[in-house]
Amino acid sequence: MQSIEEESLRHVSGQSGMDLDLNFKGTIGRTYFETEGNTLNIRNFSIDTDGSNDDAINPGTDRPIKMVLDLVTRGTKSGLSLSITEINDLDLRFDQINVNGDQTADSIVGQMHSFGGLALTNINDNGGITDINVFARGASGEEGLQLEVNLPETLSMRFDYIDYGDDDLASIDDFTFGGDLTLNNFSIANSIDLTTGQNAAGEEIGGLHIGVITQTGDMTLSNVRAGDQLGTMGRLVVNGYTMTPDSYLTIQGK
Amino acid sequence: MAARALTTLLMMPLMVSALERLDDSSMSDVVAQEGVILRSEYEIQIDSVQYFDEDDYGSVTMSDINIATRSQQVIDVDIIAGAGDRAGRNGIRFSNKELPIDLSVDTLKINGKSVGGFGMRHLTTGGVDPLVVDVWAGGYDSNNNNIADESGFTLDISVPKETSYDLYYTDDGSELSMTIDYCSSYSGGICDAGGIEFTGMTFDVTDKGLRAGIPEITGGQVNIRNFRLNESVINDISLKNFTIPEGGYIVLGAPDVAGESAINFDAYFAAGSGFDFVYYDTSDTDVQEFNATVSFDALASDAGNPTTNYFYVSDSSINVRSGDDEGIFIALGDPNTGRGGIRGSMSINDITLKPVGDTSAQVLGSIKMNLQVLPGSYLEVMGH
Repeated sequence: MQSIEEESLRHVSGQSGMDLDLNFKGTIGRTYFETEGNTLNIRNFSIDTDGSNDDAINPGTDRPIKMVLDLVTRGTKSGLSLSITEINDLDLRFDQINVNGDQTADSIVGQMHSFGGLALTNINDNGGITDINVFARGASGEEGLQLEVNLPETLSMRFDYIDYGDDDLASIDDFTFGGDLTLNNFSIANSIDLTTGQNAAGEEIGGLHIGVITQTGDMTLSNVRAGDQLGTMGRLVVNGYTMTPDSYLTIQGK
Repeated sequence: MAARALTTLLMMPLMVSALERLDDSSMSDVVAQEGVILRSEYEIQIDSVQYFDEDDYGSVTMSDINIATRSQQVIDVDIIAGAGDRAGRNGIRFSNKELPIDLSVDTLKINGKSVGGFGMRHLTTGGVDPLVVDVWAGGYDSNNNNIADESGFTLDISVPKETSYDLYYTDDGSELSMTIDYCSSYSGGICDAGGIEFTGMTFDVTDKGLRAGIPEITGGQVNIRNFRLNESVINDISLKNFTIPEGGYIVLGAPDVAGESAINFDAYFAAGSGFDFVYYDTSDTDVQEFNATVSFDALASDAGNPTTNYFYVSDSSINVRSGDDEGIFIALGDPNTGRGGIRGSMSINDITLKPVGDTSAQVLGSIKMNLQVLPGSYLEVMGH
C-alpha cells in the first residue's frame, strides 16, 4: 500500500476535494463471519492494482489508480463523489470460499467444505471513468443512502472460477471455467435504507431494503473455456439488460 | 441510520443472523442453521441474449426476455451442516416459500430466422411446503475416496407436491402449452401426496470441461396436464416411480484445438435408469390409460466395465453453422475419429392398456432395443 501522494494533498484546501493515487498489493488471509460456531469464510482475498507490473520486478514503474474525491450536493441530497480513472491491470481474487472449513489462520488447509475460488484479473477501464456517488437521502420519507455506480463505457477483465482437486500441494488437479468478460455502459443506482413494518399476514417484512432506481448495461463473455481444452465454447452476449425501477430486495434477520 | 445501513451493506456478502430451530420433518440431513430472509419483487428485461459460434459464425438469439415476480418472492437462506447422507458436508440452504416467477422469451432465432417463442408462467410452490435447494460445498468425488475433498458444489433439490407451472411454445400465433405438476394423489380436491427430490447434482470443472452430475431420483411423479395445441387437447402424461441411480453425468467442453469453437458433450446415464410412463385420456367418461415401464441400460458388451456401464452419448458436439440452410448442428459422435455416438439398451416393459382405476390388466408385451448410433449421425435444427 502507498500513502496518499503528498504532492496532491498539498493543494487541498477547504472542500475543494482530494486527488488520490492508489498503488496497492496485498492479501487478507481470512475473512469470516461467525455465528454460533458456523463460519462463512473467504480465504486469501487479494487485491493488486497493477497485476502485471510488480514493484519487485520493475521498481518505479507503478501505475497507480487515480481517484478524485469530492463532497457534492445535488438538489436536497448531499454526499461523496468518487471518480476513478487509470484502472490498467487491477486483479481481484479469492482463493476459496467455504462453509465451516477454515478454522485456522494458515494457508488453505484443504478443499473440504470449499465452493472453489474466483478471480477477476486484468481489469481495465480502457481509458474511461468510473463514477461512484454515495448520497444521504435527506428528504422526508426518503431517508437512507443512495448509491450510484456508473462504470466506464468499456470495462474489460478476465473472469475465472477455480475448481480445486483434492491435492492442495499441486495445481495439476485444479481447473478453471471462465472467459473474457466485458461490461459496457453499466449503470446502477440503488436506494439503501432500514425499514420496518408488517404485511397483511402480520409477518415482519422490514430489514435492510435495497431499492432499484436504475440498473442497466450490456455484457459479453468471450473465449469461454473450461478445463484445459485449447478451443473455445463460443461467445455469449447480453444486450439491453434492465432491472425496472421499484424492484427491491429486503434482507431480514430471523 | 444511513451509517448503519452502509455498515450492514458492507456485511451483506457474509450476512447471517439469529439462530433458529429447524423444521424436523423436512430437514433430516441438516443439524444446524443460521440465516436471513430475502424478500424481493423485480422485473428484469433483456433486449437479447446471443450465442455466437466463433469459427462457424452462426448465432442463436433469444430476444425480448422478461423475468418478473407476480408478487413478493420470499426465500430463507441458512448455513447448514449435513447429517445422514450429507454428514461432514456444509453448505447453504435456500428455502423458497413463495416463488411467483414468470419467464417469457418473445422470439428464439437461429441465424436470424425465427423458431418461435417460449416461456413459463404461473409458477407456484403452493404455499404449504417450501421448495428447498441445498448447495453443498464440494463436488463429485473424483479420487473415489468417499470424502468430498475437492471443491465445486452439489445441489439437492426438494420440490413440494403442490408445485405447478405452465410451459408454452408459440409459433405464428399458435400455442402449444401444458401444465406441469408433481401431485400423485388427491383427497377432496387437495393434493395429499407427491413431490420429487433430486439429490447429488454435482457441478465441477475437470480437464475435459464442465462436469454436471445427473441427480439421483427415487420415486416421485411429474404430470403433464392440460397438454394442448391452442384449444385442441392432447391427452395427459404422467412419469412416476423414477429410478435414477447415482453416477450419471454430463460433460460440456471445448475442442482441444486452438482456434476452434464448439460445445463438445458427453452424457452418461447410469444403467438401470427408468420410470413408469402413463398416457391417459381425461376428456371423456370412458377413461383409458396406457402404461409402460421405460428403462435404460448399458449394452451387454459394455455392462462388465465400470467405465462403460452406462447408456451413453460420447464424443458429440454442438455447432451453430452460418448460412441460409444451416442452424444448430448436433453431431452424434466424431466422424473424424470414428469414435462415439450413442450406445445403450432401451426397454419398454409391461405395456398395458386398461381403464383408469383398474389395478391390473393383461400385459400386451415388452420391447427392447439395443442401440448403437454411429459417428456421422447428426440432427440439425433451423428456423424458417
